[in-house]
Amino acid sequence: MAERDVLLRAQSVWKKYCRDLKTSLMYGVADVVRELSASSNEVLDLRPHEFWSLQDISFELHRGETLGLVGANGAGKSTLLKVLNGVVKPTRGRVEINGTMQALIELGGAFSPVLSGRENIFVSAAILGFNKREITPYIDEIIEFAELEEFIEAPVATYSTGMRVRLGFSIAMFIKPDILILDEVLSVGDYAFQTKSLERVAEIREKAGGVIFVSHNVNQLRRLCSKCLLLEHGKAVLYGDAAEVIEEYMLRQVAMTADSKRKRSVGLDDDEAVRLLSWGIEQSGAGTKGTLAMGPFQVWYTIQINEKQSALSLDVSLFNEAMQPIVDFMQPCPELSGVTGVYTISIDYPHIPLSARQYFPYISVVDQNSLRKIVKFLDPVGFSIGGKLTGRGMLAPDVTVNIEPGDYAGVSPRSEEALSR
Amino acid sequence: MTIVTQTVHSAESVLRRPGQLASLMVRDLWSARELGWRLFLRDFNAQYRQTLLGFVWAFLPPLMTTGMFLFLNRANVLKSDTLPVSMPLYIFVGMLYWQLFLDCLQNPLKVVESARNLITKVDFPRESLVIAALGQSLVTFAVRLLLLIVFCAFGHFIPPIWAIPLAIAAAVPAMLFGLCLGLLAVPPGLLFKDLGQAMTLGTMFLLVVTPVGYFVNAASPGHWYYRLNPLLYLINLPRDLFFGITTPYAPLVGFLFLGSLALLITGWVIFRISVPIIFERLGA
Repeated sequence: MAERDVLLRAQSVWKKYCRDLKTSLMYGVADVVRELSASSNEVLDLRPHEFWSLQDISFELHRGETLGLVGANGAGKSTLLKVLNGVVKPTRGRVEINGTMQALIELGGAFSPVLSGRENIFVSAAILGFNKREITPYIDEIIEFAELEEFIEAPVATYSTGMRVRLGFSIAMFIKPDILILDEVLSVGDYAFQTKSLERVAEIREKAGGVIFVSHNVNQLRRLCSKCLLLEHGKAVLYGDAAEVIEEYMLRQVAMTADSKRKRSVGLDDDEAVRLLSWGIEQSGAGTKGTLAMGPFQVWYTIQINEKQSALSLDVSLFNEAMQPIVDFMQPCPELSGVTGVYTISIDYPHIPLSARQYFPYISVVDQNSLRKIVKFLDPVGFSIGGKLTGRGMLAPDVTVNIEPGDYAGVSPRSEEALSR
Repeated sequence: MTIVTQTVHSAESVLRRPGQLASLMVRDLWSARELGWRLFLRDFNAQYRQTLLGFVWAFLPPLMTTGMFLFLNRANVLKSDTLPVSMPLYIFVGMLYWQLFLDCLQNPLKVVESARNLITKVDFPRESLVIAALGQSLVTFAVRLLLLIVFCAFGHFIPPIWAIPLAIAAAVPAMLFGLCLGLLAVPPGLLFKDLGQAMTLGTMFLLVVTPVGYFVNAASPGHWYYRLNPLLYLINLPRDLFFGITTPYAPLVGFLFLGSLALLITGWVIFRISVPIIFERLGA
């Protein structure tokens, strides 16, 4: 990649923080004095109560790229954004920015509640470095994009949270920076606004700008990002192709919850009427660790019924990463009604052309009379289907496309009907 | 060819490259104009929107303090010399300059504190906050000058025509003195809330010990003590000029002006360096 295509370069960025406020303020005074005495601030030792929020982070953002920042809460994403944005100084290392950068981090913070939306547009634009003359041609577009035509003269105090964020977002969107930083902002606003905003982000990227995008929404990350950086406890764990990094992030997320969930759901409460003892996933008669090939597979559960139940049903689902049910059905189980003891339930899935993503089996044992879920269990680890992700589709069947030369035989009845509507 | 601006964030102290720092400061000050103006307009418009009396609040402080000193003078608590002009007008003019100094002293900390949410999230020239604070002080001063015109008409006093621009220009040292102290007070004021409280109390005391509403002459007991107070000169010079009274303070005020200017630049550097470090630790 040519040097001129590098929009942003972070070189070994470190940042430390202090856990105790009073100590932190004392360190702050010491840091100010050190800065004023022009001595080096590149101190790598931690003073008491300090910890590393970022450790040795390096990456580059190129023209036309969208870089996703992923990681659990507290991984250091927001700190990294603040360092990139120049709001806080790195403890060590260097960030080089070629061009203009705009962060879309709670822009509504600058709004004065007693002033109207229109007045606040001018203030926010000025904060982003644009004067009245420069922003005036875009005013109507901004108001329209924010969908606030009717409310723009009303004081911002009367706006809902969504309206404020929409307004803040719309202002920054029209400013067209070289680098746009998005921190979870897209999670606010309704579906239509989110879609519109994502399109706008794509537009900025296409105009050879760069976007840095922070989100926990895996679908949005997949859709927008070409590269991702996975942070964990302030360290860069993985940096590279988006699909690969997102998969690793998902695996780490589910592994984290798996530990706590497994403890909660298996073998802890002996007084329970029905208890889940064990579960597993098998393919071709063998147990599997997490990745399946496309083809039939089996999910099994061992349960223990301690008290007889009059009528039981099973609620079986298979969820994708966005927690959308791919499979979902309810089945009465006379075999389990009126009995006690240990039973194994196996669910045999036929060949479903699932796309190469992560899936999570779910089961619950339901009392048919009260519809109460006696035991419910979502496998937090789940499994992934191996192979290459080819698109956004949930299924990846072997579809064949045939193209042949042919004659035009007039408008078909089907297209005629569609056109006449 | 498009010119691409390069920005670098690093751990290095900005003072290691003084030339670069100076050019950055000038650049930021220049680019802070529009934002400073907008923030000033925002605060100015918002300030009186939720009040019944509106702009009357801008007039009240100098009127109140003038009234207070008039009352004390009438009661002969504070002795005054005979004046060539009416006493209320003389005190009121002094109070205008005093309030300008006070606003310049107090507004920077107020404005920076109110922008906490913004400072911790967005990178923008922080100088704009100081510009907004200064704008507020100056506009309130200008609005109060309108009241002065009314008072002059009422008291049948017409200042010498050359004195008006001179009296306004001579307010600059008092303004700068307040601003440099106000700017220096921002970092400790952000760290310790005590300073804000102490400032309110301290300025009340300062008003009483500054001979603005009363007079001190060579015969006054402890008069040398008053002479240590720079505000005596900073306020009396423009006031004397306004009333066309011969004033001995010009050289001293010139010296104070230069001192304030040097202190202002120092305060500015400290402000730039310390505000991000402090807010990074205080959070939003």
